[in-house]
Amino acid sequence: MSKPSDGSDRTDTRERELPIVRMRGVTKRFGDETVLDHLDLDVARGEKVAIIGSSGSGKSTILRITIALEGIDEGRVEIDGESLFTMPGKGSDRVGAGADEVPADERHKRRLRERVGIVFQHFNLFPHMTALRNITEAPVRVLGLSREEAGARGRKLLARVGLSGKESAHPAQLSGGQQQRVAIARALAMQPEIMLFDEVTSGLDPEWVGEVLNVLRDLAHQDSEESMTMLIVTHQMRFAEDIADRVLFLDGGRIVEDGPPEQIFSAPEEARTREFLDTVLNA
Amino acid sequence: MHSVIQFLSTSWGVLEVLVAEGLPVTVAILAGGTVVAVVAALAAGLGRVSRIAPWRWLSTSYVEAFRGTSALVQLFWFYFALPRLGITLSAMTVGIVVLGLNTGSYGAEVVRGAIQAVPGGQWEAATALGFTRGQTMRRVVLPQAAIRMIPPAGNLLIELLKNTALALTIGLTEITFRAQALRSETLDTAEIFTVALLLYFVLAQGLSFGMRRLERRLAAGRDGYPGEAAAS
Amino acid sequence: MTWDWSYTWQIVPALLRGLVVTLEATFLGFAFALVVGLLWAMIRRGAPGLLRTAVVWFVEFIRSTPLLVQLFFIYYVLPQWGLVLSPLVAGVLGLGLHYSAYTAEVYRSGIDAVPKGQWDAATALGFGRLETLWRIVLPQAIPPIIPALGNRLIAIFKDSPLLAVITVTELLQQAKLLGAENFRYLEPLTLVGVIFLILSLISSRFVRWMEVWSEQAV
Repeated sequence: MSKPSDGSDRTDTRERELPIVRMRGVTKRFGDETVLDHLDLDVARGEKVAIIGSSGSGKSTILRITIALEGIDEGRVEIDGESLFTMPGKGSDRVGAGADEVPADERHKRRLRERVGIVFQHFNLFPHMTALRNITEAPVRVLGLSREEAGARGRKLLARVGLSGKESAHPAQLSGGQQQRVAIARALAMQPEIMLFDEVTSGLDPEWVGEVLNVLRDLAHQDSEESMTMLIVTHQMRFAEDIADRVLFLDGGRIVEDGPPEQIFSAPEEARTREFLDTVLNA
Repeated sequence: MHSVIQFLSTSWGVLEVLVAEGLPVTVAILAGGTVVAVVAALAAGLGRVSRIAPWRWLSTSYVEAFRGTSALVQLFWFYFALPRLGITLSAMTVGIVVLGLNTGSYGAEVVRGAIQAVPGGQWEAATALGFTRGQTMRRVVLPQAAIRMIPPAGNLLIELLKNTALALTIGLTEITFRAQALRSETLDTAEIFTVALLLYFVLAQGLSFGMRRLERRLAAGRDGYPGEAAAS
Repeated sequence: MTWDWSYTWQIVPALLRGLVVTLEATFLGFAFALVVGLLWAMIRRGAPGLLRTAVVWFVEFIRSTPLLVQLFFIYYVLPQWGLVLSPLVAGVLGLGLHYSAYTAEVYRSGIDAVPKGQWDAATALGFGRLETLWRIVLPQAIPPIIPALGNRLIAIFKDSPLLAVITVTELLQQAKLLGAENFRYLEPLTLVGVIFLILSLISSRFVRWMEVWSEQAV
C-alpha cells in the first residue's frame, strides 16, 4: 500500500486496520460512456492521496461517489467498513459476499456523508450568506450546534485559512482564492474524517493558486495524528509530489499506476504514465 | 359503487349534449378567432418593427389597448357599447373578431420577438447580396422566425380556446353556455362541470399535439431537428 | 356625439366602489397564487413519485381549462359537497388556484436557474432536500423572478372581471348594473375599459422597470 513519509513501522498497524475508503469493482457509466471501469481502491486512514490524470478519466467521479453525490452502476463502495453502495455486477462475477443491491436511500447516504467533506472546483459558496454564515450554517442546521458554538468554530477556521476579519464579507466581495479558502473552512467545520479536494485550484486565476495550495499543505502537515484522510484531485504536480503519501494515475476509468510520489513522478513504471507526465510537465 | 355508475352515466349524457350542441359553436369561434388572430398578429408584429411610422404607431396602439384590458371587458364593450356608436354586430361576429383581436395582440409580440431573434448577420448578408428590406423579410427572416413562433403560438391558441367560454356572456351557445343551461334544467352540477372541464382539457391537449407536429414538420432537415428530411 | 358627460361623472362613485372590490379580489387571489404555486413547485422538486405526478397533471389541467368554468365549479358544485362560499371568496379561490398553476411555472424556472453546484454543496454538507430548497436555493431563486410574478399579478387583475359572472360586484359587474339601470352601456363600459387600460399600463411599466433594475443589480 503506501509508505509512511517518516519511515516508521506504522505501516504494519495501518495495513492491518480497515481501509477508510474501499472500492471494489466500481463501474460508473454516463449514458454510453464508461467513466470508471471495475476500479479497485483502498485508502488507509490518514493517507494523503493525490489523483492525477487527463480530463474525463474519472477522477472527479471517484470523489463524487465517495460523498454519494453520484451512485455507481456496479461494484461496492465502503466507508470505514460500512457499505455505502453495493451494486451486484452483471453476469457471473458478482461482487461482495452475498451482495444484495444497496442503492442507498437518502438517510443512509446522509449518515455516511457526515464523515466526508468536499471542496469543489467552483467553490459553490452560498452567495446570499456571509463567509461566517456559509461556514456555520451546516453545523447549526445539520449537526445541531448552537449559533455561538458554531460561530466560535467558524472564526477559528477562518483564522486557520488566513481570513480573520472576513467574517461578514459576502462571496461576491471576496477574491477567488479567498472564496475557495472559505469553502475549505466550510467543509472543515463539519469535522469530517475524509476530505475530498476536486481540482480546487483549476478554477482560479494564477495569482490565487498559491494561497489555496498553502492551506492544503498546512492541513496535510499539521495532521500529526494522521487522522485526516485526504483525496486530492489535482493538476499541480509539484504540489502533489510535495504533500502526497501516494499518487494514483487514472486513465480511461482505471488506475493505471499507484505508488509513492518518488516513483510516479521520477520513475514511472507504466508507459501511459510517462506519456501523460510528458504532456503535462512539458506543456 | 352504484353512485359511481350513476355519476358515469349522467356524465355521458352531459358529454353528449356538450359535444353535440356546444362543441360546434366553440370550434366556430376558435377557428374564426384564429384566422383573425393570425392576420392581426402578423400585421401588428411586422408593424412594430416597421420603418413606416403610422403603421408602427397603429400597431403599438392596438397591441397596448387589447393587451391592457381583459377579453371579457372587450367582449362586453363591442357587444353592448358599440351599438351606441351606431355599429351593431351579431354575437358571433363580436365573439370571433374581439377574441381574435385579443389573441392577436399577444401574438403580435410573439411575431416581433421571433423576428428580432433572427441573428443580425442574416440581415447583413441579405443586404450585401442586394436584397431589399421587403425581400429580406419575406425570403430570409420570416422563414427563420416562423419556427420560433410555433411554441408560444401554441400557448396562445390554448388561451383562445379558454376565452371562447367567455362568449357565453354575450349569448353564444358554446360549451360553457350549454353547461350552464343544463345546470338550470337538472341538478347534476358536479357531472356537468367536471365533464365540461375534461372536454376543454382534451381539446387543449389536442391543440398542443397538433402544434408540436406542425413544429416538427417546419423544422424538418434543420440543425438539431431530425424530422422527415433526415429520415432517409 | 352620443356621449353623455354628466352621466359619466354620475356613475364614477359606483364604479370606484367596484374598483375596490376588483383590487381586493386581485391582491387576495395573487397572495393565494403565490403561496399555493410555491407549494406546487416544491412538490415537483422534492416529493415522492406518485404525489409529484398527481401535482404535475393537476397543474396542467388547471392551466389548460377555462378559468370561467373553474369558477363555476367552485361556485356551483362545491356547495353540493357541503362547502358554500360567498361569491367573493369563491372568486378569490378560483383566481388563486388558476394562477397558482402559472406561478408554479415561474418558481420552477427560478429554481432551475440556480446553479447545480449549490445543490451539490448543500447536499455534501448534509442538508436534506427540503432544507436545501428552503434555505439555500429559494433565497437565490426568487429575486430574479419577481418581475415575472409581477406580470402574473397584472394577468390576475385583467381576469378579475370574470368574477362578475358569479355575481361579484367588481368593476365590470358595476358597469353592467349601471348600464341595465339606465339603459346606457356606452359610458360605463368605456370607462371600465379605460380604467383597466390605465392601471395595467402603469403596472406594466413598473414591472418592466423592475426587470431592468434587477438586471442592473446583478
